[in-house]
Amino acid sequence: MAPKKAPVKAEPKTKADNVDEAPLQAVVLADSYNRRFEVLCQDQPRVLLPLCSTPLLAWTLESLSLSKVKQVFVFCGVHAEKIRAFVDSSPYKNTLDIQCLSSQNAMSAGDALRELDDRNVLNAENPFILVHSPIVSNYDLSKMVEAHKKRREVDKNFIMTMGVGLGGRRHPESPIMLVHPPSSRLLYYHQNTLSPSQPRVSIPSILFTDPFPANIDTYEVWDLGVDICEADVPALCTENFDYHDLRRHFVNGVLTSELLGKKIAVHLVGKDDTPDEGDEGSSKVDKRSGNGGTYVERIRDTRTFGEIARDVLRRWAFPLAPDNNEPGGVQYELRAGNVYIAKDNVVLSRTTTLSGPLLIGPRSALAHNTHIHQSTLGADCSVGPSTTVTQSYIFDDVRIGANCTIRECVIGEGVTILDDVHVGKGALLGNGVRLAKGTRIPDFARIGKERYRGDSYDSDDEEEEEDEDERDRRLEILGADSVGYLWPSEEEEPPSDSEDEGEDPYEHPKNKQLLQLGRRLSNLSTSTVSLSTLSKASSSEASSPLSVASSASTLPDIAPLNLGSGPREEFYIEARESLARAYEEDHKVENAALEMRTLVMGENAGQDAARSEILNFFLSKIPISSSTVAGEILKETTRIFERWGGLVRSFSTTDYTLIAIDTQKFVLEKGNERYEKWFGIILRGLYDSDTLTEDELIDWRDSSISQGEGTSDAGEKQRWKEVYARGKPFVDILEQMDSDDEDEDDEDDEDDEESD
Amino acid sequence: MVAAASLKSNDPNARLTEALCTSLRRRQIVGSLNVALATAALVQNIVRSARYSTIDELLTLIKSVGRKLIDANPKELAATNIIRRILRLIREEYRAAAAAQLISAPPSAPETPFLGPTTPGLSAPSNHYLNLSSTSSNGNYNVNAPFEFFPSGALQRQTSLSNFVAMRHSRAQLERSGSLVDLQLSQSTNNLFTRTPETPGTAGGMAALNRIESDEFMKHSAKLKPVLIQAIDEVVGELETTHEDVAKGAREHIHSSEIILTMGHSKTVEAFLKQAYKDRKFTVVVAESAPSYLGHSLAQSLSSGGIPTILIPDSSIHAILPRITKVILGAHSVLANGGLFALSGSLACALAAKTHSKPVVITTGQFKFAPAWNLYHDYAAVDFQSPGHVIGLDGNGGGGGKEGTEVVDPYFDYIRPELVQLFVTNEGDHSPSYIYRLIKEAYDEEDVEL
Repeated sequence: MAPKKAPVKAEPKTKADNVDEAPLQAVVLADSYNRRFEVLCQDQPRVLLPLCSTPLLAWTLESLSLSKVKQVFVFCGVHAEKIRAFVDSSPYKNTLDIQCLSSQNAMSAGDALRELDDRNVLNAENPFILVHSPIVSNYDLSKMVEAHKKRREVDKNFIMTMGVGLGGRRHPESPIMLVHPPSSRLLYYHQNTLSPSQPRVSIPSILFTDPFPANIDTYEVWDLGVDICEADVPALCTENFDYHDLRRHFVNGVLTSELLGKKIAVHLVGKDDTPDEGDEGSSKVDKRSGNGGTYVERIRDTRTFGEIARDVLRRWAFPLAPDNNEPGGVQYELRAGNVYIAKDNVVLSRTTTLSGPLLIGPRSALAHNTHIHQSTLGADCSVGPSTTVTQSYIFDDVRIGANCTIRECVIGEGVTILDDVHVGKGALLGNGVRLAKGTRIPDFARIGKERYRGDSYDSDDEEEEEDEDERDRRLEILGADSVGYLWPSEEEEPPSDSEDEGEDPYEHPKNKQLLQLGRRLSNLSTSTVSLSTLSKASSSEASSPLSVASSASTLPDIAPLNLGSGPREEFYIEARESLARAYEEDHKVENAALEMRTLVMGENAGQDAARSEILNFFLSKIPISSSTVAGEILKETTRIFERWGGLVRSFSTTDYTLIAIDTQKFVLEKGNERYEKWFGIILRGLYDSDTLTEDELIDWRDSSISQGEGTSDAGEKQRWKEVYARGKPFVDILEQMDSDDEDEDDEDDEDDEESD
Repeated sequence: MVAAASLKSNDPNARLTEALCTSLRRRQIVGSLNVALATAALVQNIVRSARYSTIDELLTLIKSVGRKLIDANPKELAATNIIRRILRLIREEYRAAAAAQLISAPPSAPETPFLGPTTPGLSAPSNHYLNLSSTSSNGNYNVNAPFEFFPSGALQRQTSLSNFVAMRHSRAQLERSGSLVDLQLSQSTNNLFTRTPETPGTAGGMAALNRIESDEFMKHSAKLKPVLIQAIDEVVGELETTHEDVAKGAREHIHSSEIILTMGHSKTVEAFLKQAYKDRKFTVVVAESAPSYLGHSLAQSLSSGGIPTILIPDSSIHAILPRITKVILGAHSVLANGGLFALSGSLACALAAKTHSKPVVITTGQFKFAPAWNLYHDYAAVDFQSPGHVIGLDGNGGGGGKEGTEVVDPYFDYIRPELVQLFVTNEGDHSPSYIYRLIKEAYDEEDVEL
C-alpha cells in the first residue's frame, strides 16, 4: 500500500520474467560409461552413491541450482527408475524443472548426446551446460555461460566452451591443452596420462603459423568436465556416429577438422571473474555469499571420490558444507577440527577418538576405544570396540565389529563386517557384502555381492558356476562364512570398449591403477617445467623445434622412471668445467664437493653419475704415454688421489666398491686404451692414497660385475675379464699379505711392485 | 491448536518462503540488514495474501516461516528478530482492533463472551481515554470500554498504529507501572486486552481472543489487513533508516582530533563516521580485516568522503592501539547478555582496546538484538568459511598439496559483553548490561522460542 514496498515486490517478479525467457538448461550424464565404480554400483546408479551421506546427484543439483540453472535433464542409463524415484522425492523437484531421460542403448557420452538430439528437448537458441560426471561446486556456472555467449557474439563458430580450473591436484586424467590466450580458443588437445608418462608431446606446427602471442601465460589447470554447449554439439555427434568419448573423439575431431570450421573455447574458472567484479565497481562483494566460490570438482573415480569428500568436509565447497547447506537436509553439528556429527541420536563413547575432517551420519553408534580418522560414516552405522577407521568412506547401515582395522576404502551400503577384520587400502566392498570373523582383505581388492561380469557377459553365462581356482581363492581370502565374491583387480580388467579403434590412453592399466583410492602419486617424481620455457626448450634442444616438453600447458612433467637414462648433457659439461676449475685453482676438497653437490641437485643427476664423472676426470689427469713406466704412474696416481680421493669418496655414500668398478669402466672406455694395461697400478694408487680400502678391493674382486657380468655382448665381456685379470693379482696379494703379517706392510708394497 | 499451521505447497507464499530459505542456505542473501529486509518483505506478502481465518492461524503461520528461516541459516539471527517483531506488532494491532470491536458491540451482547460478568473490571467506572483516538470510527463510548488506568496518553499511543518504538516504550512503561497498580485492575486489563505475553503459560488470553475470532475476525479482517501491512511497512521503513538513525548521535560520541580504530566494512559504522565528520575533524584507522579485506572498501569509501584514513594490516592492531582514542565496531548480531557477534578480528580489536584501556563502542541497529543467551555459543556459530579465502585455490585448488594442513576461516568473532563499553543504536545509547531489558521489551516472551 505504501509506495515503499512496491520495488521490493516488483523485483522478484521481473527477475522471474527474465528467467522465463530463456531458462538455463543443464544436462547431467548420470552414467559414467566406465566401470570404475561398478562394484559399488551393482544395484544403484553411480549418481546415487552417497558423498558425505548425500547422493552425488543431490550435490550436482545443488551446484547447478547455485548456478541459476532452471531446467535439468538427467540422462540415465542403467537404474533409471532409481534415479527417477530419487528425483521425485527430492526437494529439488520444487525448485528445478528436472526431467529424467533414460536410454538403455547409450553406451557412451556420444550416444547420450545423439539421443538428446533425437528427442529435441534442448532449446536450440541457447547454450546448455553439459555435466559429464557428478560435480561438487560452489562456482556460478552461469558466468561461464555468459562468457560463452560473449564469445559467440564475436565469432559464431564457437560451439563449445570447456571449463577448466586453476590449480587442483594431479590426476591421472589431466589433458594438455594448447590455448590461444586472447581469444581463449583451444588449439590443441592431448590426453596426457601420468603413467606411463609421455615425456614429449608433439604439437602440429601449423598451429604456430597463426600469429601467436609472444608471452604465454602458464597455468596448471584441470579439466572440470563441465562444458557449455550449443545445440550444434549434439547435432555434430549425430552426424559423426563414431564420436564416443567427448574429449578424445569430439574435441579432437572438431579441432582437427578444417571443414567444420568450428571452434572450441576454454573458460578458466576463477580467472575471468575479476573483470566482472570490476564492472560492478564499488559494490561490495561479500565473500560470504554463495557466488564467490571457485571450487569445481567432479567425481570421476574412487580417487577423486575420496579427495572430494575430504574437501567438502574441509569446507572448500562452502556454502556447500554439511553443517549449513547440506543438500540431503540432514542437520550436522560442526565441532572443532572439521568434525561433523549429525544432530540426530549419534552415540559416541567417551573413549572414542575423532580426528577430523570427518562426518558421522544420524543414528550411528561408536563403541569404546574406536578411532575414526578422516572418514565419513553414513546413517545408522555401528562401529565395534577398539576398531580403527582411517580415511574410509562408509555408506549407510554398515555394521563393523570389534578390533577391526579399516583404512582407505569404500564400504557399500548394508555391509556387515564381523570382528577382527582387516580391510586393506583401496579396497571396495559392494553393497550387502558380509565379511566373516578374522578376514583379511588385501589391498585394492574389490568385493561384490555378486560375481564379476566382464564385457563378454551375456545372460547365458549366468548359469556358469565359478571354477575351482576362483572358488579356492575366494575361500582362501574371504573364508567360508563370508558373503561376497572377489572381483579381478582393476588393472587386470580388459579395457571396456575393446572394439573401439584407437584405445583410450586413460584406460591404460597403469594409469587406471592410479585412479584408485589409496594410490599415491608422490612416488612419481615431478619437475615443473612450464610453458614459458617454450622458446628455450625449442632453441636449446636439438630435436624438432615444435616438440614441446610434455609439461607444455597443463601438467608437470613426469620424469621417466627408468634408471638407465642419465642426466642431461649439460650436467657433464658443467661438471667437467667445475672440476677443472677446482683442479687448476687448487680448491679445497670440501669446496669442490659442495660445488659438485649443488650441480647434482640442480640437474637432478644422482650420486652415481657425479662420482663416475669425478673419477673419470681425475683418472684422465694421470699422465700416461707409451714411454711412462709403472713407478711413475703409481706415483702420479697416488699423488692425485691423495689430494682428491676425498672428493670421490664423498660422492659414494654406500658402496665404495663402485669406485673400483667405475675405474674399470673408465679404463674400458673408448679412447682410454692406454690406461688399460696399467689398471692394476691405478688400483694400487687408489689403495695407497686411501681412496679405496683393502676390504673394498676384495669386494670388488669378488663381485660379478667386475668380471663383466653386467655386459651384454661377448666381446665386451671379454674385455672386462681382461682388465679384471690385470687388477685381480694385486688384490690377491694384498689379501695374502694382510693375512700373513700386518707388520710387514712396507715390504708388501715392494713385493707388490715386483709382482706387477 | 490451529490445524493448518503451515502454508499449502501450492500457495505462492510457500514458494516465496522456499526461495528465501534457499537463498539463505546458499548464502545468496547475507548481511543482517539484507536478511531483515527480505524477511519483512516475505512476511508482508504472507499477511497480504495468505489464507487464514483466525489471528492465531496467522501468527502460527508466521512462526512456522520463522522456524524455516532459522533452519535455513541459524546464524542470521536478524531474520527471526524481524519475525518476532512483526508477530508482536500483529498482536498489538489485533488487540487494538479487538478492543474497538468490543466497544462497537452492544453492551450485553451474548456473542462477546469476553465480558465475563465476573470480571472485576466491569464494576469499575468506565474510562474513555483509550477510545478517543483508536475507536474514533464508532463514536459512542459505552460501559464496556476497556479500562485505562493511565491518565497519560500512553496506551492511546500504543493503539494508534504508529511508531513501533513509541509503542515499545509505552508498553515498557505499562509493564512497570502495572505492577504498582492494583493487581486486580491490571489483571482485568490483561483479560480485556488479552495480554498474552504476561500470561504465556495460560492460553486464557489467546482463548479469549479466539472466541471472537472466527466470525468476528472475518468481518474485520478486511479492515485489519491494511493496518497490519502498514505496520510491517513501518518496520521496513525503520530498517531502511537504521544507518541514519544510528548516525544521528554521532557528534556526541566523537570529539575533534580523535583517532578512531575500526575494521571490516560495517555500513552503520561508515554512516556514523561520515555523519560525525560533518562536525568534527578526526582520523580513522581501518584494519584491513583479512581474509575478507572488507577494510579496504571501507577505507576507500571514507577517504573518498574526505576523512583522513589510514589502512593498516590486522597484525598491527595491537601496536597502533596506544595512539587510538576509541574503537568503533559494527555488529552482526547482539545477544541478550550484551555480547555480540562481529566480523572476525573484532575480538582482537576489543581485547587490544581492553589492554590499553580504550573504549569500545558498537554501532548497531536494534533489529540485530536477538533474544538469545548463548553464553557458551556453538563452535560453529562463528560461521566457518571456505579455506580458499585464506590459502587460495591457485596452484593447489581443492586443498591439493596442502592435504596435511587444516585451514580454519571463521567469519565472526564472539565478543564478550565485558569488552564493550557502549552500544550506540538507532534508539539511543545503552550499556551492555541493559541489552537484555531492551530485548525483553522488544519482543513478546512467547515468541522467544519460535
